Amino acid sequence: MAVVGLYTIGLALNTPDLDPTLQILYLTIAVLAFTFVVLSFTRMRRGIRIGAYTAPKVLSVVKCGQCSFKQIKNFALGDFVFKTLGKCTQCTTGDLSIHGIYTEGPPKK
Amino acid sequence: MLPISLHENDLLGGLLGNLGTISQLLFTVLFIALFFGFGQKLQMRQFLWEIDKGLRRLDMFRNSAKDLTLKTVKEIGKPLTDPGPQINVLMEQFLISPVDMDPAGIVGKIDHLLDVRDAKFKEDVRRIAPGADSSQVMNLENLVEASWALNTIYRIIRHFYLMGKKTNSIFIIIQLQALLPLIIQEAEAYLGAAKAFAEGQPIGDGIGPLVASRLMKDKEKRKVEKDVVVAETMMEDRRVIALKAEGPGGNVGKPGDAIRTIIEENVGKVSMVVMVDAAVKFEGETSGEVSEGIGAAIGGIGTERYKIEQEATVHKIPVYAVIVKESIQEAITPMKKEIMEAGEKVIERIKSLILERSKPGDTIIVAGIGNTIGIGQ
Repeated sequence: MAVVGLYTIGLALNTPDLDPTLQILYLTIAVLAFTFVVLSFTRMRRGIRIGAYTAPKVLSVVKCGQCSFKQIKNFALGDFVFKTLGKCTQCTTGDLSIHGIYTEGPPKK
Repeated sequence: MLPISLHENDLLGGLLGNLGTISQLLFTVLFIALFFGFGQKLQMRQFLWEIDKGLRRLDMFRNSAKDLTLKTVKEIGKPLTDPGPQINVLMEQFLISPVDMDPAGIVGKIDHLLDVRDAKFKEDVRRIAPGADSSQVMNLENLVEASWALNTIYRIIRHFYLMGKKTNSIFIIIQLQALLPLIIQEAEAYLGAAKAFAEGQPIGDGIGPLVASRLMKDKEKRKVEKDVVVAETMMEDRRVIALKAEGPGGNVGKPGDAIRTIIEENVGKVSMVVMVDAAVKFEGETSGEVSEGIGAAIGGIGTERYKIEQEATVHKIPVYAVIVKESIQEAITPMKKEIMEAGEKVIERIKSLILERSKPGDTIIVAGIGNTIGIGQ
């Protein structure tokens, strides 16, 4: 369709002494062809956007119950909120536990 | 030379002029024939083409979810035989709702049916995955349910697509084409949910249990009713009984029965029930926004809400709802940061609500409603 559009617009603009009626006809065909191309592309883009699923990155927030220690790490299989992960490496007295698990979602397109 | 050339040009000009008129006429006739004679047919072809594309995408989603289910069952459940055929049977499972010609007692009937379905589903999953612990069985059950949902969506869309094609009904095709983007979005969310269930990640719907678990942290817990845990805490000199479904396995429990039990345990002396849940936002609203209202904030088929409303009415206990707004997609996919952060705002709302609506020494029930996958207590 893009080729048809380009060809007809070429005919309309480059043919010397072309009948005005024929010129309008060629221009109309060119406009219709380009509209079809634009619409097809936008529809294709929407289709691609809906189809592609990207798993979001999930993070676990680890906090110490005693001190201000806080760490954000990648979610690991078996993690859950309030899971105890052992003693804090900073204060050595408090227990480390998962305070929250979240995702920031896929990047905006 | 010149007169001949002029004569030739005149001839060509005339011919082109005629050609222009003929082409214009042909074009107009073609235009009318196409747009008035075959316009609807052309449009229907285009719609069918779009539905076909959408259907293929839904098929891809359903296969991805099924593959993920098989992979997870094999990894976690360590089955002795191939679980594929048994998963296929589960994916085609259905529930026949009870007769509603005489609606009296229908809630009990539905509740019983749901209990049977739940027990059977859990038992089937346990049989397919003998190596999984109880928490993993819950997650696998949720995963199979997400796959079941994708399979059902695909089957329904395929049914209407083929029926529209067979009957040449533009009305079926138009409705399907108009709804398809929303259906695909929902299916995509189910695929996200399947991935979250496979790994045991908290989902947006888990904000209620998350709030309840924060209230019951480091407190003594006990189990009441089916899969519901309860803990007592003090908040602004009031006795707060927090409850949630037992985690971290994917579970919603039966909060209606649990609230009824707690009210009966306290001989009806409960000054208020506060229900925390995720609620579907309108387009344009911000996810993680907190809002409060009156009534039992709980989704599902309605049996649990009925029990809570019934018990609250009998004992004249006010029921308040604190909700966190999120889209339907966000509710079933891994919990977003803004939803998780809304948990603190919800606790502040509960505090101000109990300060305004109760006296020191009163007993208050705070129920965290939703799927507790990935959230312990």
